Amino acid sequence: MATPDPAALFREMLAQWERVANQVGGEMMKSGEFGAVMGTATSATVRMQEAGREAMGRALAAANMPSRSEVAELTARVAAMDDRLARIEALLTKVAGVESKPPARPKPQRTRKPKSAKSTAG
Amino acid sequence: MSSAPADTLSPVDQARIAFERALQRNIKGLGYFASPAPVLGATPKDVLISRGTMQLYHYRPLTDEVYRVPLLLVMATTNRGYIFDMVPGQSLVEFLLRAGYDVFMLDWTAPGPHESKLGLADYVLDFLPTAIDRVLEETGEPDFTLVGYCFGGVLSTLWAALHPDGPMANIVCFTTPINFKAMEMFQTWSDRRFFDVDRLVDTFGNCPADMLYTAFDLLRPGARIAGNIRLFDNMWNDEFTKSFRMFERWTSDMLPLAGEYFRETTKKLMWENQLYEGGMEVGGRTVDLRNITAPFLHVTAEHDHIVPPAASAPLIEMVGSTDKEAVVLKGGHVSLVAGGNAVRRLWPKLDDWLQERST
Repeated sequence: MATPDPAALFREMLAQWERVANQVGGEMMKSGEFGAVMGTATSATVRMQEAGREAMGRALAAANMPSRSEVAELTARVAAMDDRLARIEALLTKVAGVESKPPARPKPQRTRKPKSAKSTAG
Repeated sequence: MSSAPADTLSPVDQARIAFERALQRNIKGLGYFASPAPVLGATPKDVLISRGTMQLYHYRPLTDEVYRVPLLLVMATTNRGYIFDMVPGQSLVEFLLRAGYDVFMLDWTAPGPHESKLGLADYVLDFLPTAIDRVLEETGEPDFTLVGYCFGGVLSTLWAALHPDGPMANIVCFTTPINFKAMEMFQTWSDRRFFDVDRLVDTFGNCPADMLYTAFDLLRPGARIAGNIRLFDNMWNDEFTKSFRMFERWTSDMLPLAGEYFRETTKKLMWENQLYEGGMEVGGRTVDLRNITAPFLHVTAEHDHIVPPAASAPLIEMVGSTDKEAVVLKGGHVSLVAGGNAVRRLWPKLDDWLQERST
């Protein structure tokens, strides 16, 4: 004799709960009040980050260590030098007349036709 | 394990199945936490360009003969491109390669602190054209098909609108937002009365990935809890857990956004809705979507909670193409492009549309 499956019932309940939670939660989060709360929370995170950065900057300066922004600046300069070196390398290769050989990659024929064209032709 | 519907079984069989599953759940649950995450994005490829946040891949063809027109996938800047290349059998890239396309992908890595000054113009007028030039150089072809997903679609349409005489043969967009006022939750959260984007960018440099992740997660407040309960319920099912892990890994693997780019998109798109209402400029050049005249396909998802249909639907009317088609498929923002739903719906549709236009 067949009986209702409690697990299937639970799964259906879970799906319904998820739908309602998404709908009700979503409506709440669309409200201006929630936007204000979220904005305030973001501002608080930003303020904390600013305060932390300032304190860390002072500590790093006292320890004679570079700050985050100084490291970022150095990274940018290294990246720019990297780009410049790549350009010089490419130019030198060109001037020397030696083409750098790219690794062999498969080069299939570019002649494929759509299935409909093939079936018409066939 | 029996696969008969549970409500047709006798109570004894139901109890037996419940017991077997509980046992498997415990055994496999331990394995779940002890085993490494699945390897994603493993289709063989060559990295043609790796320049800071920008990566251009060329996937190794899987057929002896390919369509003439190469295909460039453009990923959204908030997420990793391996959503297009999950695992064998569930990879759009693999599907396209087997169908005979020559596939490239413009993907992104997390922008470093030194890239915080990158703006929309860098993406639209530098990264995209650089990638396109390389695709054409690599293939020796005069034109290509552009395929953008979500914000990758926005970047693609911006580039296409600014290059009406460019080498684009076709353009395909997946769930691409155009009317940002219709993205109601993001609108509320980025309300200029409460959200100080300047201060955020000036403080953090780049917009942190965890902030974006929280915002995306909040779009469906019940999804995480229900998802975890479902995972426990299906722990005995290898296919379910494998799929859950893949998508879980991808959704939590978000990228920070370059600071200026985030500032610019917030102001121009979220606040002023310039792409829809007019007045959008990139690098001082005015964007007019009517300049896009190439064959255009826009595929959107019926249950997209990130880019609701009201936000994406107007795009098709706004482009100047005469050969254009808008398709609404069942599914959500992610299941449109990856997973079982995509395999059945989007992928064959994409192949059908592209075949005739790729010779």
